[in-house]
Amino acid sequence: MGDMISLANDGKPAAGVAGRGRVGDTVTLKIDGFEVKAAAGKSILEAAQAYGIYIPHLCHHPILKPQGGCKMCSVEIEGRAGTVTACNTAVEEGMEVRTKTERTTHVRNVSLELMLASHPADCTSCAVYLNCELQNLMQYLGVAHSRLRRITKNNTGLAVGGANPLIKREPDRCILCGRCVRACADLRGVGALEYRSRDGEAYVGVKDGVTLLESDCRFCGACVEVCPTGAIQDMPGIFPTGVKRELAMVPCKSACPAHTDIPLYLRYTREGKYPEAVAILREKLTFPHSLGVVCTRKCEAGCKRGHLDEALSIRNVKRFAVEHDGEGAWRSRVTVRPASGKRVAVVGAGPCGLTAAWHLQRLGHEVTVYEQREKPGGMLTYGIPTYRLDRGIVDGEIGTLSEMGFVIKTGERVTSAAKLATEYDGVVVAVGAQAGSPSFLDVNDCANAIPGVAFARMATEDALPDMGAFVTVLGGGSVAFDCARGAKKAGAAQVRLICLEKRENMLADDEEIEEALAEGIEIYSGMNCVACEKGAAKDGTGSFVKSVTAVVVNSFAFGPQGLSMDTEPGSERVFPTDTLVYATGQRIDLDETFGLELGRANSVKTDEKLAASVPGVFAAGDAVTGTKSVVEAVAMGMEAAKNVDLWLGGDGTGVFDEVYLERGANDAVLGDGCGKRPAARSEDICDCDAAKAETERCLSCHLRLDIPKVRFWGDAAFKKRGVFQGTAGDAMQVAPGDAAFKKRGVFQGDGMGEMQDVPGRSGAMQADLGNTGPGHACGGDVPIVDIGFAPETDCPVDTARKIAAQAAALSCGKCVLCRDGMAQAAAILSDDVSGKGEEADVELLGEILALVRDGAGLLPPEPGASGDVHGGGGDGLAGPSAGSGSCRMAQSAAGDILELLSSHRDEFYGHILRKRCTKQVCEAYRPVQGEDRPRRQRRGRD
Amino acid sequence: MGKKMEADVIVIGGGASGITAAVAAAEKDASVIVIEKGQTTGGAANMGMGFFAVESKYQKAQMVDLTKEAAFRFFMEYTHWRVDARLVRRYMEQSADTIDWVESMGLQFLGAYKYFEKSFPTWHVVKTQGSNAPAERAASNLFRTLTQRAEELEVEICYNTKANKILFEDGRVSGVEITTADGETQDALCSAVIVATGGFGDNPKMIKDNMGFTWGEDLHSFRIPGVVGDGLNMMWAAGAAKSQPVMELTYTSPGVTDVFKTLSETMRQPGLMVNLDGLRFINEEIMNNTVYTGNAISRQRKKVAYTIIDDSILDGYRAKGLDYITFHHNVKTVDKWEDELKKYLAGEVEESGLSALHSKEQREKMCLVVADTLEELCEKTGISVDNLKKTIEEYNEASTSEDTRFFKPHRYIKPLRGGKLYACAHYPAGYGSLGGVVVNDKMEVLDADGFKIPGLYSCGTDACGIFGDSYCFLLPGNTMGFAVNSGRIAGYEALDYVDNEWA
Repeated sequence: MGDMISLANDGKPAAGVAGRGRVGDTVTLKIDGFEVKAAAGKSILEAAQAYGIYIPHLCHHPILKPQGGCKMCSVEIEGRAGTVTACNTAVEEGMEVRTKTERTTHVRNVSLELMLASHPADCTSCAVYLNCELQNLMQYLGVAHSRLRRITKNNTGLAVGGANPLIKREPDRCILCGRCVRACADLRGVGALEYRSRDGEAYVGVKDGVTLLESDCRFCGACVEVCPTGAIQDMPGIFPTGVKRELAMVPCKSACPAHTDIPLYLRYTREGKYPEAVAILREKLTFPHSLGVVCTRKCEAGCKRGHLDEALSIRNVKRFAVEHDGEGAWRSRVTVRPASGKRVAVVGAGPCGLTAAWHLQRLGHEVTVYEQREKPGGMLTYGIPTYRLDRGIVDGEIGTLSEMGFVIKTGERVTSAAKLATEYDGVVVAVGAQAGSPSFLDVNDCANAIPGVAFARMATEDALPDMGAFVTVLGGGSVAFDCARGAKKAGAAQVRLICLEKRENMLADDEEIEEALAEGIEIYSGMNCVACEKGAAKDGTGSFVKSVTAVVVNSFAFGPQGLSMDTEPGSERVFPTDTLVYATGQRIDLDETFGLELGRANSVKTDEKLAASVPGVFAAGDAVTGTKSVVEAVAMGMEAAKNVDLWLGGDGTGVFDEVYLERGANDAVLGDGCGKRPAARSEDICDCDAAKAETERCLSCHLRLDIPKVRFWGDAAFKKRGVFQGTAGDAMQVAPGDAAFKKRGVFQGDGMGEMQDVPGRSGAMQADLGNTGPGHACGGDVPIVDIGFAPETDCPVDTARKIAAQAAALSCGKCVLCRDGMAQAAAILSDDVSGKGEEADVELLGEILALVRDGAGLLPPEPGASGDVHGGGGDGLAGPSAGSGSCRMAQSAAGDILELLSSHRDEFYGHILRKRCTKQVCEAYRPVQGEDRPRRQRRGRD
Repeated sequence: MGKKMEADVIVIGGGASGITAAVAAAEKDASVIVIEKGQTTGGAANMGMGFFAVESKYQKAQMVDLTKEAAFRFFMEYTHWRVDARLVRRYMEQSADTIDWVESMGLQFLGAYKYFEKSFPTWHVVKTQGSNAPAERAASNLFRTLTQRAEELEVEICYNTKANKILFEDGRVSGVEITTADGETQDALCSAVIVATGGFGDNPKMIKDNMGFTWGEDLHSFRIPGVVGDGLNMMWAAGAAKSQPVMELTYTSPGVTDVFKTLSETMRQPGLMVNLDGLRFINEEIMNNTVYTGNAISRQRKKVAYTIIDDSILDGYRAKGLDYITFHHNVKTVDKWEDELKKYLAGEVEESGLSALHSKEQREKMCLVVADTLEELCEKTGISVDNLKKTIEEYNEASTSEDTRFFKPHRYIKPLRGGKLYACAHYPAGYGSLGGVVVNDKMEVLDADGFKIPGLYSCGTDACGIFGDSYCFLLPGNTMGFAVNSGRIAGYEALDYVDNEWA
């Protein structure tokens, strides 16, 4: 147990406290009769959980520092009066703890009732129904608020800094546990949230009273993650559904077809550790440099930041990192398995085929790649224009991959996969989509009508025919834009692009569209060609296109019968055309002679393991899916490699499990003292500073996965009470928060009062409540309730009400007893004052006030004890004599009220039972009838 | 792949019915696994307060004049004998014993209550700790008790776990395909499956397909997260005969009800209610029977109705309190009227977060309007002004004589005498769906030919077809009553099958 570190004490020994032991020591204690061993410095709650002993808790969260405010974890310790909160009381040698006694039940139940008094009873509209810790505790404790006054919250509009696109607020559901405040300050070091107060009511707000958007909030979601109720939630639609949580919570990674560990390589890039960043990229990407230039960046569409302002420039950051990789540290980490003796043929040397080849060769299989063209690279070489992707990059990447030792046979077209399957142990068909779909215009016999994919290839080979002055391109995808821009660059006078989709729905990247417009290309979106005028070719063979006619399309749909359109009558427009390029779809250049069962557009039919109709033959990439992107080809190449490896008797683990950089613990701290996150997206990642600035925009969604889940009372861990649960029993035992807390020292001092230095805590509280009393903060001066009582003239019940109301207003908001207890007392007394009291109020008030006065059942605090005057909000573990009840302010206020009411019992009962104010000062009451007044006289006669 | 999962009985859904079924089967020594999607048992019933029983010891002590026979006769008259009489009898016969059964596990009840004045006191409200007042959500106590009992009986409750489909072997149930909290999918093996997933109240498409309502437009029912019809879809896929599901209807004012309790309760008093044509269509005395009122509103144009009061009526409430008081909301006075109205009109519904599940349109639409004149009121609500004027004349006249149109008791006819006018729109709402598969009195799920599917049981709301077209609020506590009692039946019968037929 030597590696156990006290979270709350930051590993520092709690010196000089008898019996508590040094950190690293193990103490033995008894909890509910079970013998429990725990590292010194651990809290009773942690020790109990580790042994499967459930203690209810609400403000406590395993990764956060304890606050002791909710009183749910109240326990009794043998030989000590009252109860203590288990979350912030340290274990001690020989301690005997009881978690379920009449007294602890009473403290918990009343505290929960007090919290429920202002919580909506309507759970049915709450998204966390059945996943709510409060609901779960209600069930466990069997408590509802029915005997208490309903408290209406008035500061909901201010809570958590107003509306924003990422965090959904339901402030009525907030119970002020402060987990979000602590997560933001202590875990993330940001400190955007704090307890605030207005009009006598505490709420969780944003520092300086600004909105969350104006604040230093990093939108990391830690607050949402730790919220026990539905008070703060993720805005629906940000995270994908139906995928595993570890992917879903990192939407960029989830959206990337190869599931690249994006947040991590962004982090390393931010730190200037480019080799590390590239190592992470390389685990999933065989062509990171090319992808850094031309990736369709689905990741950016997933980026959570996109909902806030603009997504990160993930692709351009990737390019920068790859270009600054240096020696390529990842190379030494690549796993190469011993030769398996199996031979594999890959058909097609595009990104998909080469990816499969590289992995399969790595896994010990002897791979030969067949490529029909002169050079490998597929669409990287023959499709994407050279002005977009430098061929040096592609050749370099293919060179790197080739070092693995597979053979590429160029200029060899495979005519039958079935035949190949007889010669090799496994075959991967990754031939791409090399043929243009026939145009729906009748132009197939026209020499000047060219399929887009062929036009693009000619452009890459510098072999474009004479295009004339007017070039018309049909289509709105990347290929269409490549063709249009290629034509323009090759000297066409006027290039027009006609596409069915409206501008906002065009398939091409915004960047491509904007560049095309800048280059002078005319874009006619939301139009479709319906006719073309043809002439006879001059040489007499076939015909040629003279012009095309397009109409405006109001709407369209693709149904089983193909395209259906609603066109605008009279919108026909004729475009004279010297060359027509139709980039309206691609087909797979295969037919039945290839020996495989084919599907739509000649794609290869496969099962879910990518196996084609002939055993041992697998297919992947565009050949299966139709035209997709490079990154999808790479991802599918990996999938094919995995399945072929399995087919060849491998274990299938070698492809997706490559690790080129060991993952240490994540740094949980986001606040770096540098202030607000940069807002504007930068496309131009030209130097280290630009890369740093852009990567600093990352919201670090992945950090949420490091926050452990709270165990509900029904959790399997609590079924074996008293049995050590090892690492599974309580996340605290393996100290997952160690990493999280390692930088706490940046902001904090030592010991009990350490939190005072955290930005956004004590200072703000003082400012916030500065006009209501003397300096008021946890660990600071005790605020004073200054309601006087003049026995001759004041009504004691009304005075009691005023004391309760002021005490509630002075509460820092952390502790249920002074916050909700005094608010409840004020509400009850307010009813009593105005004649709506009930007999049960006497007992109810007594119960609540006694609880507040005695500090959750503690002995009255010792006079002169400094440093823990505000025990309810005290941070750090309490020593044996420290209080963990309500604060001194509330204790004395509750005591005053009890004393006032008991010494003026007649007035109190008079208010409740007779609805009379004996002092005749409470406005609601008529003057008391009786002996004080003169008897009414009989009316006389005139 | 997680550890091997195998048991005699697997219960899908740890709500009221499922957890009860698990305890029942486990008490008879079955090994039981419960598959629960959430992290808490009790499901939708955590919102409830108690459940139906007849001839319970509480009713005897309270001298309630209702016998099993009378309740059965009443129930069958109410449903026109269109429901399974054997199942109704078995349910009612067992109901009082179920009260004793859960009390033996440590639960306490406050007593038998009515839901509204004309209903029978059959609603056994669960006691909460430290309080003798009926409390919303009190029934969650029951599920703590049952869950602890289940744990004692070594029932394995798998939280955050979803059932995908029911597996069969040789025409008999053989297991359930599940997806665990970690996202792993695996088969859990068993001899009998009890499906208790609580219907499809949170599935607008199924609501539309099965009941014709468009959620958010002409229906504003509760949507308890996760109640999306998992179980029904699994059973239908397994060949279960489909029965017509119905909505457990009530009525609501989106953005008002459940957010501003005083506004809501005040506008749900048995005062004047009209449709868009400005005509009365209901004896408002029955407004506390929310099912009947929901039915009546559903018949009106655009499925909407308005209650209208004015300051003179408010003054009456100020002086004497409200006429109808429900003890779950427990609003007796209009003390908070001004405060809530101010907040409502300032648009603070949004800030509370409580109307988050309501649609954008609802959030923008004000359900409660204030007007100085009838013309303005009609302008804001779309009610026919001419008809409304006549209706109010007739209504005010009735206040001096009698309601010859619908025979509403005189004490509820409060004339509109002046001051500001307030109108509140009421739309059909509901607690969720009821029914969907055909079962017999052993809670065995039947196929289209009326034969049981061996090893397949369903209970609770998925199987609740005993109310016919409208939930029976006159015998309150019936939804949870059926859930708990049918769960208990299913638990016993499933084990009986495992012991005597499957083995």
